[in-house]
This record gives sequence, C-alpha cells and structure tokens, in this order.
Amino acid sequence: MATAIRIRNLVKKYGDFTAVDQLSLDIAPGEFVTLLGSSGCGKTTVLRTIAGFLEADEGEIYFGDRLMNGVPPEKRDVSMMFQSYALFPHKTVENNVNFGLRMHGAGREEQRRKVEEELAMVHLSGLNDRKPQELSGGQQQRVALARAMAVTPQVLLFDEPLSNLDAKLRETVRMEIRAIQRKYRITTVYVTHDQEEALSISDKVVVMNGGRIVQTGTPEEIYKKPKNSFIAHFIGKSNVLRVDSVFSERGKRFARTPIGDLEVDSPALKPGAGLSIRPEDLVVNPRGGANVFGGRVAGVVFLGRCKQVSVDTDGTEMLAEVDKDVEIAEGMEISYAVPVSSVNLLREEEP
Amino acid sequence: MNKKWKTLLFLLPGVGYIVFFLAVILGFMVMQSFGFFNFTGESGFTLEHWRSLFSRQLLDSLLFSLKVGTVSSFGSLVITYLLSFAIRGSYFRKTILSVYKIPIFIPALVGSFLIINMFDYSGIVNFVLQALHLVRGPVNFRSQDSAALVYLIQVWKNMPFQLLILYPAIRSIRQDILDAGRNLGAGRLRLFFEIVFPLTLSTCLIAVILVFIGTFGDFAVSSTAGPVYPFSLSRLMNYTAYNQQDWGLSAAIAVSMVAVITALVSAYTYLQQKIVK
Repeated sequence: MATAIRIRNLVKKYGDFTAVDQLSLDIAPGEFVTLLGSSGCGKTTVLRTIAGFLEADEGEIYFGDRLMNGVPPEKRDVSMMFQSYALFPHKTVENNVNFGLRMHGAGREEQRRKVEEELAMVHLSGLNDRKPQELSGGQQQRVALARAMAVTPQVLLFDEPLSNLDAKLRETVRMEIRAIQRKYRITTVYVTHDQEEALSISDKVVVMNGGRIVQTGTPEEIYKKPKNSFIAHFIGKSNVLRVDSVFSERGKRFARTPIGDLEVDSPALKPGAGLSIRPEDLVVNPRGGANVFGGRVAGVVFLGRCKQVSVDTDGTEMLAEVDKDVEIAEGMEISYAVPVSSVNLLREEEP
Repeated sequence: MNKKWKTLLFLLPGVGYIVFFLAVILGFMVMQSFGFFNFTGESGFTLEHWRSLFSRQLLDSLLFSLKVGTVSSFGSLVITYLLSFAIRGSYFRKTILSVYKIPIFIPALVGSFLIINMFDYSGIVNFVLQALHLVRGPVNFRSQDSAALVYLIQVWKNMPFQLLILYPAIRSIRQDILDAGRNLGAGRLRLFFEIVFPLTLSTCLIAVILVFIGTFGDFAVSSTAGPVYPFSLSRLMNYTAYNQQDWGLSAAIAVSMVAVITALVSAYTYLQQKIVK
C-alpha cells in the first residue's frame, strides 16, 4: 500500500533527554492518524519534526518517496494548526486566510475565491475584515483551520487544536474537523492527550509513552484490545488482573486471579500474564451464568449517564458501571459477572 | 485644600521642575531669536535673525544635520533589526548581545576619537589595506567634505541603544506565529516583512525618533569627525554664539531645531495612533 508519510527510526534528543526514541510509523494517503499520549511523551516533537520546525537527530521522514530531512518548513507543503491558533494579530481574517496563498504566488482572483470558499466551509462568511482579537475562541479556531486548508496541503498537522475550547465547543469543532478532512481526504496527523478525542476522530490511533510507540491500531482495537496495562489504564478505565496460574476444565481454559477463577477464551494464556476488563463490560447482579463473583460496594460515583461502582472482591478493587437509576450504596453486598468475550489478554505482559 | 490642588502640589517637584525650565528656556530662546535679551548688543524686536536663517550656510547645515540624523537612525535600525532577528533563539545570543552593547558605555567623544584613529592615514584600516595590497597608498577617509566617518561613528554608537529598544519587541513575538508563517510558505525575508516588521513597527518608530533626535542635535561627533563644511546645526549654533557673538541667530537656529523635532514627534504620534487603530 502507498504511504503518504513514512517515518523510520526517528530519534530526537534535547541534551541528555531523548524525546523521541527510534520511532517508526507509516501513514496512508488520506488517513487521519492521532498521536495520543500524556504530556512529555514526545508526540508534539514528532509533529514538529514532520512540519520541519525540528531537525531529527537520527532517522528519516519521507513524504511519499521524497526524503524530507533538511527540507525547511516553508518548502514541505504541510499546514499546521497550532494549539494557540497562532493567527497573525495584525492581519484581518481575510489576510490571515490568504497568507499562504500569497506566499505560494496565487493570483488575486484565486485568493478571493479561495478565501470565500474556506470561510464558508468553517461558517465564518462575512467576517473577512475582523481582526483575530475581535473573534471568540471558537471562531479563531475556525479561522486557523480555514488558513491551514486554504493552501490545499499535502499533509495537515494539528497540535492539540481543541485544548483551549470549552467541552461543548470542542465536540462540535472536532466533528467539523473530521468532516472536512473526510471531504478533502487530506493526510492528517493529529496530536492530543485527550483519549476521547483521539477515539472519536481518528482512522488510526498511535499511543505513545516515553518517546516510543506503545500501540498502533484503529480506535476500536486500541480500546478493546490494549496491549499492556499502561494502555488499558490510559485509554479509559480498566480492571487489570494478574494470572497466578492456568488450568483447563471441560475443554475450557481458566485463569486463577486475585478475584477467583476466571474463564478466558485465549489459547495464549499463561501464568504471570495480565488480563484487562472494561468496567462497562461487568454485569452487576446477573441472573446466573459463568464468571460470577461477589463483593462489597466500596464506593459509588455518579457520572451522569451512569454510576461507577467500586467493588471489593477479596481485597481486589474491581470497577463496574451500572445504570444511573440503579439503587446502590456503599457497604452493599453485590455480585457481578465478567463475560468471557470481554476479557482481554495483555499481549505485551505475557511472561 | 481640595483633592485636586493637593495632587497638583505633590506633582510640583517633578513635573513643575520640567515644565518650568522647559517653558523658561523655550520662551527665552524664542525671545532671543526675535532680538530680545541680546547679550552682546542692543535689545529690541527684529526679524533679522530669522531672515539670516535662510542663508546658504544655514540651509546646508540643516540639510547636513537632517542627513546625519536620518542615515544614523535608519542605518543603525537596519543593522539592529537584522541582528535581532538573526540571533533570536541563537545559542550565543547572550554573548552577542553583551558585546553589542559595549558602545553604549563609551562616551561619544572617546568613541569618535577611537574610530578616527582607526581610519586615519596611519590607522589600522589603512595599514591592513596596504598590507593586503588593496591600495597603493593610504586612503583619506577623513576628506574635508565627507561625512562618512560621522555616519559610521553615529551608527556604531547608536546600534546598542536601538537594540535595547527593539530586541525585546522582536523577542516578544510568539514563536508559534513565526512558525505559522514559515509553515504557510514564508521564507525568512517575507517572514520579516510580513510579520516581524509590522508587529514591531511602533517600537521601530520610537527607536528611530530617539536616535534621530540625538544625532540631529549632535555636537561632539560632528566637531571631531565631521567635514570642514557644512557644520552640523549644533556646531553652527556654538560657532555663531561664541565666535560671531550673534546670540540671536544662535537662538533662531535652536528654535528651528526644536521645531523640526516637534514636527517629527507629532508625525510619530499620528502614525502610532494609525498603527494602534
């Protein structure tokens, strides 16, 4: 398959600190890839190296077959949306949007047409003569998007572009970004530390930690099949159990865990391995079935759409989610079932 | 005593001092230019000193001072802009800035003599040029009618002063704004003219005005390194008052210098308001 961006063994150091360590990644044309990780994991460094603002210490970056190492940012055909929007404060909305077009030598008529097109796309028609400081945060964000899109770049980069917006606006703009990217099929690299944002917007999620890629996959794969306990905990919430021993009974495989014997549908299961189970997969007070355990409610948190219940099972805390209307309180004795299909073997934590 | 008068009373030692002496000196100067308070002859109203202002010699001096002011302020501005932009983010920034500030601590007269010595017949510049066989004999950099050394000394002397004003303004431009410019296809030159220059324009204007005022009214450098003719306006004022004993004409020159500077500051204020808008 053709690749739009190919990163090979990228290393970037700041003095003694290695921000990006031997990172390799392929991004297909038109793909929306999100680099997800906590602060300092190296995701912005990767993005800035793709943009050309940073020079790699080792490794190569290719756009198609063209090696980009040493190519200055202005010659990369890449548009970036910055966390702070980075609009030019002395220029009007129109002059911000047509800046890239002018730099690329577009004629006046093309500039005018493109500006109108892009402003219409981000629902800002008629605000051409406003200065950035006369716009709201959401509007500034849209101008930044229009400005980045106006030059029809080969690659579109986003550096946590929604982090300064309130929760509701963030969701709206996120969907708009996704719709625009889908419409124009521009290869996109998006950086965020917000796992919900990453899962909802991306074709592919790249989870990073300590300058390295920990897991790459579709949002569903990343969520349902985390490779290790770091991802299981970083992407949403998870119950992680250690396998003390493994045994078979009536053709089924069981793992002996701190909460009891758990049926697991995985031939790779071995003693010492890790298992993850999402809290929403646990069935509280089931009517029979396999993998049923009991415990005392240690805490209840109301989350709006549901209640999160912490259950103490033989000294191990298990998180479960129940409907918001279920009557449940601290100290109650409850039972819960762990569906066999919801148990995920943490592949990188096999002994 | 009401609050308003109390406030004025508190301000008096500071503002009053400035206003009083400015008013007295300016008033005295204007009166002298019209023939009053004549130290060396009879006092009485006359327009003679103002008519003398339009002599060839005075107009040449005015032009010379304007040229020195303009070349020095813009010359040092260009160099300071280039340097500030180039060293922004450089590893050796602090060292370069420290070295660049040295001329500020050297008095104008001392600096002037140092540079004259360098460019004199037996100075280091002629020595190097001859050693490299680039010239046959020593070059006369201090020719009688050239102001080249005045420009050179003034630019050298005023660069650090402009740096102190301009560099913080250039540094304060957010890196992501410059990155956005480059990302959208602007090379360094276009980045400068499209982003850095407009964002620092008001600071640039004040840097130019302050250096212009200083160099337009300069006496020391033009006296030591300036041409035999024309004099700078300050030098001419001194010459007219002490050598020709014509204090009235000297006052008229001073009033016209203040008028030029006032016009310039007014233009700056107008432009500043336009920029802010």
